[in-house]
Amino acid sequence: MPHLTSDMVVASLILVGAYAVIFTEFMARTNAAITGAVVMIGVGMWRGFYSQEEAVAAIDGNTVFLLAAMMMIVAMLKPTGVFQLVAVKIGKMAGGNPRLLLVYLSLAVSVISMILDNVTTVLIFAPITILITRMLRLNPMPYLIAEAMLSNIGGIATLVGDPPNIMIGSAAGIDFTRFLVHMAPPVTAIWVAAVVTVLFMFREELSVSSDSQMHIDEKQAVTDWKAATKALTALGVTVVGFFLHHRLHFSPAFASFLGLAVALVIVKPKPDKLFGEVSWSVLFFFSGLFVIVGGVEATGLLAMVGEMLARFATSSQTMLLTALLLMWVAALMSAIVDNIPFTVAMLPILAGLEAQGVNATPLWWALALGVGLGGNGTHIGATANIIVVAESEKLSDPAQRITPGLWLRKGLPAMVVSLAVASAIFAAGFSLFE
Amino acid sequence: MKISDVAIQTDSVQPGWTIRDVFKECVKRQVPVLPYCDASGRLVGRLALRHILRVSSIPDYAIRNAHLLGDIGVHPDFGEDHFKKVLDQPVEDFILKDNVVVGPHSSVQKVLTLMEKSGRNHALLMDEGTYCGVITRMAVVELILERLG
Repeated sequence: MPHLTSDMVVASLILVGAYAVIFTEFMARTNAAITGAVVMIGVGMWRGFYSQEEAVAAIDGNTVFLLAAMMMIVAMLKPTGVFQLVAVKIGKMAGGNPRLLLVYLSLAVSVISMILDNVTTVLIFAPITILITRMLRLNPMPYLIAEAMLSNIGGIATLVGDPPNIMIGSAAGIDFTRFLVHMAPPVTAIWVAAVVTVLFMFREELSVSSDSQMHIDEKQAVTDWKAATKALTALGVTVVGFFLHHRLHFSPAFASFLGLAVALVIVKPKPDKLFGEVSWSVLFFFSGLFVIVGGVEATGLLAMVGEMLARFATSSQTMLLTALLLMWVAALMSAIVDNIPFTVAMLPILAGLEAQGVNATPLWWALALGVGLGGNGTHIGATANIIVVAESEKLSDPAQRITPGLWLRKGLPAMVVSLAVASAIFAAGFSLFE
Repeated sequence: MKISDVAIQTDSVQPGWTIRDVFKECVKRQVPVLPYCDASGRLVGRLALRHILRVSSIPDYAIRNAHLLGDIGVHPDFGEDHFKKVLDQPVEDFILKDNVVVGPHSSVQKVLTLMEKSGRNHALLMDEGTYCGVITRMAVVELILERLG
């Protein structure tokens, strides 16, 4: 068995230092990741365990380019108003029934979050949800919490629904269809459990039926039908590309760029405006993390951890236990801190495990479920949560605002129930996840 | 005719005024803003109608979906009932500190450029530290017409 080297210790210290700065928010996370990456490369070159070429190679281009392309497609789709139209139609379908309204809105954000990122979905849905609920004289708070939570849950179902999934798919070589086939059934059950939990947790707020009229003119929602049709066509091409990418032997990133290329040709956006909509800080944050973890990986430490794990996960039972443990630890970590750094650090460990000849497939699924569900536990667990909290803070009535304590009281039980359901399904159908 | 000739003279808001007083003075003088002076008469800030209405009565979520609002219907978070509560509020919560100030000899170009840069329809006319009046975009147009016919 290889032993711990001084390079491993040094690289680990740099990683721990960078992660500590990110988690404590001592510096903006992107600044911390870039600084950490520079330190890792510099020290790695000096000590001879990491080169600039290796650092560039450590950045997962599939993840970064896929996210960039999706950001640009969304930027063209967002101003068209199609999502507002969906929200208003749903609001009217519920007919003033507060529970039905919650279920419908939650379903809409979950489905949209399967393709688009949760942050965009919630950014669009939160203001229109407040408008709908306030017109119906309902408290928007349960709806906002439900939308964030179920957007997070919906995102777990697909390869592109959540950044950790893209990373996992890329590292494990899991294609879009395989991801969907494995994750959609548990996510459906988790979704139902989460909605029931939310309905129960907010039973008082949702018991008031509304006889107020919703004076919202949905005909005004879509500001430009031509642009909306073009942007939706491009999104459709992207989704078809996702379903076919493994058959046609191209990466999910290329599928997203296929849709983007169609959008660029038919929508003809102004490049300055379009590129201004890309969250470069997010992309650089991810890239920085890949470089940092790549440095640790280059020392052989993560392969060593994988080797140690391989000795433990020798049977189906121990693999199930390992997967469940990973799911819960990932969830708890994600509830407290950003789930991306945790995911990035886990990728080479699980890959190292596979390199030892162990079938780590269940662990990839467990990781995806854990980091996805964990975000619902606290108000800072996921960016979507932070957005709805910020939206609620603008409301004049304190009873409509979401406080960290309130989220903990309502969100944590929902997270635990979701994880319990996920664990039960995982254990019951373990062979399907192998 | 200079810029100071088209300035609209108004009272300056003093400590103890309510939003109702501000609204009344603005309506009386047909200006969108009033200067706020402290007890010693020093210019401290301004009270702008747009800001008062925006902060007190127009929620952010409604602005972002303004195009969807129907023509009828009373919204619980804004509307006449809500305005009633605002009228008796003290002005102190609504003071803006960023003033666009011009002098009596400032050129039309300078006044218009400052208005454009700040995204406002007004500037405050000050002469050696003393408030002299509000210059609106309408007043500038009046001056241009007066000069050019």
